[in-house]
Amino acid sequence: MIVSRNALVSRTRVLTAPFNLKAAIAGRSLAFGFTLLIVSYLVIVPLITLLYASIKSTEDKLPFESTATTLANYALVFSSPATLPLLLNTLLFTLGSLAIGLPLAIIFAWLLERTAVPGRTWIASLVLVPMTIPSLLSAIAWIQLLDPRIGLVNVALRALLGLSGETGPLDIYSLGGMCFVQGLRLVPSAYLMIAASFRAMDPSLEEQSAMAGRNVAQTTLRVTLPIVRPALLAALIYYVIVVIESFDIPGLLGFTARIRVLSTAIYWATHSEVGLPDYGLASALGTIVLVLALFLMWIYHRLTAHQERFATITGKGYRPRQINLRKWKLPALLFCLIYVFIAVLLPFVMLLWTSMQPFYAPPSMDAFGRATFDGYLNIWRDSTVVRAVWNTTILAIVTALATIALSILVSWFVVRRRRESGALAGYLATVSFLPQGVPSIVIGLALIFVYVRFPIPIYGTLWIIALAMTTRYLAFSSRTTTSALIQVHGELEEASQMAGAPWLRTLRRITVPLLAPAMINVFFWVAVHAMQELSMALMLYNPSTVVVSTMIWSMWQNGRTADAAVLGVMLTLLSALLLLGGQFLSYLRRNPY
Amino acid sequence: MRKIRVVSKTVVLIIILGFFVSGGYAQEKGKTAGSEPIAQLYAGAKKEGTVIIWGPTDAIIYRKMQEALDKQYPGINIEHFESIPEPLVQRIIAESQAGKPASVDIIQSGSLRAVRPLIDRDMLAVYPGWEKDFGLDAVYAGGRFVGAYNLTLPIAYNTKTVSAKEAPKSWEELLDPKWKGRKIIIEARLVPFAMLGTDWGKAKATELVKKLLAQEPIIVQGGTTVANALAGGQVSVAIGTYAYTIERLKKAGATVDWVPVAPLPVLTSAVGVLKTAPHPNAARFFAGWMGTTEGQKIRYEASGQANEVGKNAIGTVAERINATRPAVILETDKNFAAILEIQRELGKLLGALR
Repeated sequence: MIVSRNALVSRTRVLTAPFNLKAAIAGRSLAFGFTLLIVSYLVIVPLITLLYASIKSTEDKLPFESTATTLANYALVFSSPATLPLLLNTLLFTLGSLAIGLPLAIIFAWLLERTAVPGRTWIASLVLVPMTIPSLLSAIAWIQLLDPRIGLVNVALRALLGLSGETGPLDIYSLGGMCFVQGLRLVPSAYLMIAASFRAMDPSLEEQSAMAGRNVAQTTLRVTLPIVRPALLAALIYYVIVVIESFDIPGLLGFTARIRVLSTAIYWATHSEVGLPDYGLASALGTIVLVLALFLMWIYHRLTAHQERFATITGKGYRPRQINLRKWKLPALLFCLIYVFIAVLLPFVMLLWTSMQPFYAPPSMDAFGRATFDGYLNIWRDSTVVRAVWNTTILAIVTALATIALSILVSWFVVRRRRESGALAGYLATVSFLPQGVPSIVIGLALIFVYVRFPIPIYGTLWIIALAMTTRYLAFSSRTTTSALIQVHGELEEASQMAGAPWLRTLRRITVPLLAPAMINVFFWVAVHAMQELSMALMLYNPSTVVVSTMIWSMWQNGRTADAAVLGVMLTLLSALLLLGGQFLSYLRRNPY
Repeated sequence: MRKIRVVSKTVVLIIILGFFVSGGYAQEKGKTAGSEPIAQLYAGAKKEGTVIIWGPTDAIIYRKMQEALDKQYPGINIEHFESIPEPLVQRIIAESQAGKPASVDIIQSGSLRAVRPLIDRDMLAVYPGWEKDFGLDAVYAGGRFVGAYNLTLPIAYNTKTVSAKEAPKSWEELLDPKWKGRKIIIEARLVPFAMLGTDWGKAKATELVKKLLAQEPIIVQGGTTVANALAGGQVSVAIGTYAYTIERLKKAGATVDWVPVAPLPVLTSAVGVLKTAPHPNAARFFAGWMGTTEGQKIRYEASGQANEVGKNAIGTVAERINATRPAVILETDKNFAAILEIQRELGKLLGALR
């Protein structure tokens, strides 16, 4: 994105009214109060439900039915001999997944945002595609690729290396396999979170480093990475919680690998299909995640305390420039293509294959003879599919817009009001991150209990699902916009306000355009995740608010694997189209002429 | 002339008699069990016009049932909401506590245990007519639930890698060293073993699971994933998928089969009518009709699901069970608490804390 000094000056030139400090402060305070109120309300309801449920005896009872208050859930969690191995496994799984996912995301963010690697616009879109494949279907595709016996990759490796035996050499049912698949799943989202900061960097700092005789690697390590530290930290703490919470990979691979993690225990407590979920135990386990989230937020605050050090977009004008990789251009391109082949093409082809088979069979001539595209025509005969696609589209757009609007307000007050109202700004930053620590099913239950009684008539509508998702995705979106805003120096807004612009107009005309790359990323991330979210949707949907993710799930449960895969392919293509649109928008912003 | 008059009178008499006979027959044909209470129930159902059912059954099945109902018992519209019972049960409880009028008539579950919270809270209506008037035997919890279909949990195998002779014929045979090393797949909720525990005792079932885990099986969540792994040749033997799923895959060309091993765990998918149902007659009528052979046939033809044990059992799975007559452990309201308790114990072997 090119934001020249002249452009910013012209933006502030329209603001001719005399500066009214009192009015500006009143408007800002009102907005601050509004943001505090909305965020608190969104977060406190599930949070109280979590804490309340954790001290209630909820075996065979729902939290609000139970009259007995008890610490037995915590006692069980902390006295069970299974807890320590659970926590250790969770630590290993989290570290392993992050060790694979985050460096890859950082490399892609740097390559695609700061260098002139060939085809970067297309690669930037393709890097995001794995995020669009529904996680259950993606995990199944990976099993089909890496199963020790029939996995395509293993069969090919055995043939290539002349290995005897029926299994191996790779085993997806291991800690390494779990970390690999989970790590690859993290790359697109982490890339989105980090990329905007790389894009918004002032290249003059890198240029000065180069002039001082440092090579590209030294400049990257000593200049680039420290500047984007807030974004890296935000990604790190966010994905620590995401990995701890994720169940798809531990659920499909972890039981076999005997790697039982925290999410497995939460799953057993909430989805064991033996009556009512054990909310007491699940909430006590969830509280551990919550405490960890608070601790991580504290670390984040300490490490980004002097945030002005990270500001690279200032009133002095900047022009992001791409680094010429010279002889490393081709290896960099090859690296990107290998990733696209492994993480994008292979799982998508397996998903496509599954959608063409009457029952799952590994690729063979026999199976090829059975392949059919009938599913793609037949699926539209079901009127529910049309309704689900419509509902999903509405839900994705509404959730994404609501989350972005709220995140911008949160980020602005967290970053800009840190000095004036430190405690409240800190509260806002922490509270907006906490929903990530609350299990989705608890958010769903909390909303049912509140809105079934509440006079606001959103119970049973699409809006209650949108509300749940906005709460859930606030953590990602506020982390991303906050990291991006830290890089924008306050002097640009100050100039606007000194020229007489009210606070809201300054936000709209100065801040929002500067945050556009991060906002576009957040929009697509939230939209894609809203399309795929299942746990909350299953709790809150009804016949008129059916969405694609619940349909895929129902079809899969009823053995209609091909139909589920057909919908999965369609959802992937729809999401990929959205992503490509977003990338194209970004490209247009970067290259206006 | 007199002859003509006699003949014409006889013809008229025959026509009148024929009219009554045919009318009477038509009326008789309209009844499922030919009883007056059912006709009265149908009249009430028709007046209500709608039945709302929530449960995990595929929407396709209810579309077929609607077609059959429209032909035979017109005037009842089925509104179906497909979802798993657990969140539905929670919503029904929450709505009831908030004093909201019920938005559903019938709740259906894949197993009786899932809807136990509604029995515990006395939220289901008792209806003796399913047994008395519809002649159904799969009636549970004192007339609160009627069986919709069964889910038999056998040992399944891939016929490409295992011959019928080699396939395990008992649960203990799963412990044979030849199955060691990712050759068996098990569904993570361990339901068949919990049901075996009600027959064998908890200790023996737990011991079997422990030894089976030493065989290094693949363990995944979800019966469909288990069935796919077997059909795709990922494993040789599968536990935790349903016999009807295996039969359906066989029909589609997959190289799979199952063994009606003894004792054979059989789950009960049941439907119950809420006390506060907005359409109580339609709900009772439809729930009863689904249990009859007519209703069963439609379900079976659309999905392969049916009552697989008992008086109204139909279909290939039922035939195979009848042919070998293994001891059956049927899930009922009498044993679901015990199954639940053992299942929780077994879950600890896989990471459950309670």
